[in-house]
Amino acid sequence: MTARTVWSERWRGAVLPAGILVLWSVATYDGWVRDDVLITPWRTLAPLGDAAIRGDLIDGIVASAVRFTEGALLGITLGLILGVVLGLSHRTDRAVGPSFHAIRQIAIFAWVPLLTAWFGNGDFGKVVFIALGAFYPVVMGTYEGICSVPPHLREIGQLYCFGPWRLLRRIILPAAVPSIVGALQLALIFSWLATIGAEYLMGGASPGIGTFVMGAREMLRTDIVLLGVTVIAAWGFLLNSLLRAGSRRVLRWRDAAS
Amino acid sequence: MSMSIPGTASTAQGLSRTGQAPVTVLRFAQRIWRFSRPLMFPAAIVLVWSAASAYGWVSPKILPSPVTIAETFWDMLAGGDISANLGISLIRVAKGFVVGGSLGLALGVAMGFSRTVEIWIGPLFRTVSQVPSLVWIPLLMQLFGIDEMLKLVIMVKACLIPIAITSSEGIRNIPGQYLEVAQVLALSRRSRIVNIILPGALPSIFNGLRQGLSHVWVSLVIVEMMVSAEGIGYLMSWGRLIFQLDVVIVCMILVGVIGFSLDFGLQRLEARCLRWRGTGAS
Repeated sequence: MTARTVWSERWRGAVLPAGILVLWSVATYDGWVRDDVLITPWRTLAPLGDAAIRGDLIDGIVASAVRFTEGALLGITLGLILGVVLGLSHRTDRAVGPSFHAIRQIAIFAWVPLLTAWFGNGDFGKVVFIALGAFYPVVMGTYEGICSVPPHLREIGQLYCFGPWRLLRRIILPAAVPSIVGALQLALIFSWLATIGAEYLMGGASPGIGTFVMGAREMLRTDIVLLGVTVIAAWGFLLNSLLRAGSRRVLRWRDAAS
Repeated sequence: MSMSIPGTASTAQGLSRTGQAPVTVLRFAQRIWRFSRPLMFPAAIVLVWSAASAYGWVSPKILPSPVTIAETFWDMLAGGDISANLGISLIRVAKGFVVGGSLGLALGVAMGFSRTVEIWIGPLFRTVSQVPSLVWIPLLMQLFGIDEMLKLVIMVKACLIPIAITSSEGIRNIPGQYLEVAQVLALSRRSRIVNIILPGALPSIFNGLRQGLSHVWVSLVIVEMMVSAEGIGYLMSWGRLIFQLDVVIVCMILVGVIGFSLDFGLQRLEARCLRWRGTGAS
């Protein structure tokens, strides 16, 4: 395929979004749709001119990022612990595993009402919810990674008379890394989604980008809603591409070895 | 289950020299033990939980006892709360899944078969698909209000994307040999599609359908929790509002059971539709 056809294909891919943008502009500019329902695309950035709104937006982003980090760290730590325990001890796996899988059937968002009753709808309740979102994929990934460590690797460890701790650190965990990395990627995506979901669903007075959007919606400020949703989506894109680049870097040793 | 408990297994072997009867008894005991082991942990939890509420370690407001939850479940079932709200939610799911599923399949098949469609629509589709439905909810609330239309749009969006992605990939990734067979047999275009491509893509289409249905269910529960006056998600947030956590827990269990059953149903359907795979050349 020549460079020329690649370019022409890219242009064709851009036609549809451009068309939608034009139609949207015309529809809102000519007043086919009411102003509080949909605004013209270029007015998305207009609220940034207002210093108060800009301040709220930045505060929200910072608060959400902090909450995201806390929840993800908590969930990942607990998930790694449970995943390692379930992966190493068949007894624990057989006793706790079925219950874990049964509880996992409950969609995490269905936990929101109970968690707000237990932990409130402030920062703590939200962090617990985000941790829950990160927890499940990490447990699954770590468990699967450890279970699929080839037996001959364990035997090598036994040959060298490694104690259980060294066996875990030098053989089992490194062999499980690819699966754990995949799980961490999922966990961070879920944490991001749970951060937004917690702020949409729990409300509360604590700032956050989701709270910012919901507040604007109540005041029928579609321009601010659109701006906020764009910021959230951009955050997701950024996280996605960072994770993809990060996991390629971490797993480079494996590709180099093979 | 081929695993056995080291201790009991060796005892069973030791006894087998002395007589036959104790072995069968032991085997039987082993089987019961294996069967009941997964239930031990939940049983222990329920026991501690019951004790906690019986002795008042935690307020029944915060953690209703298992007995209260069972009673509430029974009351809600007998009073028709569950059937009414669950019925509404399931009808919504059916509408969303049928509309979103057929749109997703149509789009996926078009993108899978035609390079032109893929070139024109693919980039936009992949960009939109990276942003989960949940994120769109406030914007869609502005556009579509907070009635049935909003729920339908969100559910359609939630299942359209995985179904379109997997079905287009399934069609594109048909093994080359299959297509060669079709060429050798000089099959007509119609027969090639019906006999080769669609069955070949079916496993990945089912994969998408299952993902799509579970996304529909989860997103409906979320929307019902946010804006609705009926449905299982509404019942749950209503229970939270009046601080009846027994109602909340009953609803959570229902959300889990329904989600599991929906997926299980599709899994069975898949097994039925793909029975040929077990006996076929692959």
